[in-house]
This record gives sequence, structure tokens and C-alpha cells, in this order.
Amino acid sequence: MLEVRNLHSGYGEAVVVRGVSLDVGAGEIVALLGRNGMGKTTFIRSIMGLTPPTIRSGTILWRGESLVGLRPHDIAGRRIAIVPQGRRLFPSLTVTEHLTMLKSARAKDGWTVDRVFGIFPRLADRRHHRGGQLSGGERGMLAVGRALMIDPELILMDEPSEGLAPVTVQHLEQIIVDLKREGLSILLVEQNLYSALAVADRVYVLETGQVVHQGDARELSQQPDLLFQRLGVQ
Amino acid sequence: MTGRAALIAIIVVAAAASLPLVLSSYQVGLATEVLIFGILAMSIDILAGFAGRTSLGHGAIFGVSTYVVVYATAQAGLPPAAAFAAGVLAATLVAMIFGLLAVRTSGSYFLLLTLALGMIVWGICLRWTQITGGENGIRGDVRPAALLNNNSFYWTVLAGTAIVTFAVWRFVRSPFGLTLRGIRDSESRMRSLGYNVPLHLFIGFTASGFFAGIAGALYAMFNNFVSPSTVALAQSVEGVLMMVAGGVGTLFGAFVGAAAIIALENVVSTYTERWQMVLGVTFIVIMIFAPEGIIGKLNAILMRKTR
Repeated sequence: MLEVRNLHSGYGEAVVVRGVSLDVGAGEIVALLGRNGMGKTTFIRSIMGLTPPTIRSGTILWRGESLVGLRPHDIAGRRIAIVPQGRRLFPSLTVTEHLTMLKSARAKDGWTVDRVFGIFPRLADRRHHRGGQLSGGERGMLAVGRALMIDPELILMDEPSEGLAPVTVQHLEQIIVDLKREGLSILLVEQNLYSALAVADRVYVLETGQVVHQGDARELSQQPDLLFQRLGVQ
Repeated sequence: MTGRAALIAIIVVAAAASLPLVLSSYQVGLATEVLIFGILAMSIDILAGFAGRTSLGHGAIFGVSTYVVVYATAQAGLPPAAAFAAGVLAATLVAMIFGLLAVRTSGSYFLLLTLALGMIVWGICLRWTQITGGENGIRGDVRPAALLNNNSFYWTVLAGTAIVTFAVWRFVRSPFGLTLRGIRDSESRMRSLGYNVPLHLFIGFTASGFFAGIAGALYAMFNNFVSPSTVALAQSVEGVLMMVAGGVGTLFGAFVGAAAIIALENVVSTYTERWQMVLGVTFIVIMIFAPEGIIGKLNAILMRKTR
């Protein structure tokens, strides 16, 4: 579905993503791992057409069509959604309003407000609360729910587990696996290695803008020395 | 619309409709003016209160509609309904041009750009004397014969105001209206979620101009006269002040603000020639003690009571 080839992207003089190639297949969860400052967010922003950064070279193909040069709303129109880093909710909009932007509460097709509330019952309880009044976990759920409302085929998730309590992270992992069962593709950017390995089919490890390891998630989790070497964890 | 909101709306409209029974003919005229300027202030509130962009060009959009309606009836001999439609259309087109130029800016740049665009319209109205009559303006019997009576005109304007207010209310609460509020909260967030921010602002600006155009066309019928002062900066500023006094982002506050300012202008000016000074002081007081506006302040007090 998504094929990225030899992508170079960066800010001004600094090239942060240096020749990354990556694939996400239909119904696949792919995790992009790496420490802070390794270019993960830059990579995901480049796919979504967000500037900065600017793409220097390389190709991004989505169902065979190039996404390079398209604007974010064109890309969203091709059913690619993003759960941005830090959730980025709207402080003055209520939970329901976040979900009904551009898609009426009465819509019947695809993802509906009720369906989102179905997988996140906690949000249903908070439907009249404003973005600024939610807890970290609720924000995370709402950011995912909001992304679902465009009926995506691919969701780019930028560190959805960041700053969440372990029990909330587990809930989110379960949701991600459930979404995969529905046939969604997910590109998961994570620093939280264990969370990523728990859900991902395949893993790419990014270091200073280059892919230093790629492979099956299960294999990686059984190679402690490699984990230590690449990500500094034991 | 919830039952309670509908009930309140019916009571308010009924109360407003019974005003001519107790007011003098002159006061009914003032009430008509309040409704018309309330629509103008409300149209500015669509952008200021919901998209976070305060326009200083809406007086010009409003005035273009007034000019076109007066010209179309007095000079071109169009029937009132056609003239009205032409005025609203002209205002909407002007708003589209303003919108195209202004939507990529925000904050004080938006303010200055809309101000400058408004000044251009004012300059054209002042100088294009063959059409606009220059400083003398144009006079014409715009109001249709059936509405010559002050009370019947008031009721017509009231009905129009009720429809427009309902339309604006629906507009800002629609999914599209929510995206405007999202833009106000954070433009970059909206962009990163894949919304076409400039397009949404353009549509918002155009809709807002359409409503300002309705106010301008009604004003043509109210005043039967138009001159450059109708499109001047002071007109835009007055609209903004009415909106701010009523409460930014409250929609209905626009009418409260318009009533407060028009009442103040008329009452105070009978006592002193320095009424503008009194108006200025009133504003300072509102800004200090109720920066959220009259309706905003009342809302806050009610919220505190119910807690």
C-alpha cells in the first residue's frame, strides 16, 4: 500500500531523514523505532505532506500514486490519517465536536461517533468535556478516534503511548490490534519499544536518519543483544 | 435545536415583535436599526468569534450592498426584490475578493489587510462620482410601498433577522463551523490533521460577507440613502465594537451590543454633544470589567450560580 523509497527530508540545511525505504502492506502494523532525534517524526510528517520538513529526494507511493508534493488535505483525502505527536487536541472543542468536524453526527457510513464511543467508552462518558479538560489517556483515545473519523486505510501514529500510564498503553495496544483486524494499516512511530513489539508485525529501527535494522517484530524481540545494540535497552 | 433553546428563541422574537405596541414611531426606527446592525455585528462574529479573525472590512462589505441596492432601485429602476438580491450578491463577491487576499493572514495582519481593503472600497465610493454620487451619495425610494409604515418595516426586518440568526446559528454549529473553531484554536493542528485551512477560512469569510450583505441591503431600505460614510472605516469599527460589547463568540450578543451602542448614542446625544466621549468611556469600562462582553459576562454569572 505505502512504499517509501530512498527518502531524504530535512529542515533547511540539515537533512534529518537520509535515504529511508519502508513499506506498509494492507492490514499490517509496522513500527518505526528509534531514540529521540533520529528522524521518526520528520519521516511521518514527510509522508503526510506537512512542512517543515521539506522532501529533498526519494519517492512516496500510496497505492501506486506519488504523494510527494501533495498538500496535507489532499493526502488526508486519500484516506491517510495522522495521530500527531502530543495528541494536539482543540482546547475549546468538546469530545463530540472533535469527532463531528466535517462528518455529521448523523452520518451512517464508515466510522461514526457511536462506533468510536463503542471502542472508547470512556470518551462517551466525557462527550461534553472540552479538549483541555481531558486526562492524558483520554486525549490519546480522542486523537485516535478523531483520526478514525476520516475512514482511513492507513493511520500514521506518532508516539501514541507517550506519557501514558501502563494500563492505558495496554488498552491502546489492544485498540491498535483491533483496528488491524478491521483491515487498517498502521505505521506506528514509537520510542516505547515494548509497546511497539507487542503489536507490530514488522519493525524498522531508525538511527541518525537511516534504517539500521528491519525485520519481523517477533524475531527482534527474541534478540536481546540486537535490541541493546540498536536501541540501548536490555 | 433543543426544546429549551427553541422556547427562548420564540419568547425573544415574540417580545421583539410586540415592541411597536409600546414604542413611539421614532423608537421603532431605532429598534429596526438595532436589528440591522445586529446582523452586521453577528456576521463579524462568525469570523472573530469562531475563526479567531477580526475583520475591519465588514463595514465596506455591508456598504457595498447598500450602494448597490440604492443604485439599482433609484438609477437602474430594478424592483425591490431584485435590487435586494443584487446587493447581497455584490457584497458576497466583494467578500470573496477580500477573503482570497486575507485568509492566509492572521492576527494584526488580518486586521490591517481587511482595514486596507475596506479603505479601497471607501475610496472608490468617494471618487467614482458618476455612479456613487461622490460625497453627496445617492438618494432613492428603496423601500417598497407595502413597507413604508415604520411598524410593518420593523416586523419585516425582525422576520428577516430571525431567519438570518437561525441560519448563522446553524452554520457555526455545523461540522464546517467546528472546523472554523478548530482553526481558531490552532491553525497548525488543523493543517496537520489534513484540513485545507485557507479554503475553510475563505468559505467562512464568504458566508460572513453574505450575511453582512443582507444587513447592508436592509439598511438601504431603512435609510433610503447611501453615502461614503456607510462604507467608511467607522462603520466597520462600529460593527466590531457592537460585537465586542455584546460578547465575542456569542452570536446573539451582537444584538445586545448593537442595542447598547445605538441606545447610548441616541440617549446620550440628547444630553451632551460629547456623546462620543461617553461611548469611549463606556467601552473602557466594559473592557476592564467584562472583557467577555455583556452576554459573555451574563453567561459566566449564570454558570457560577448553577454550580
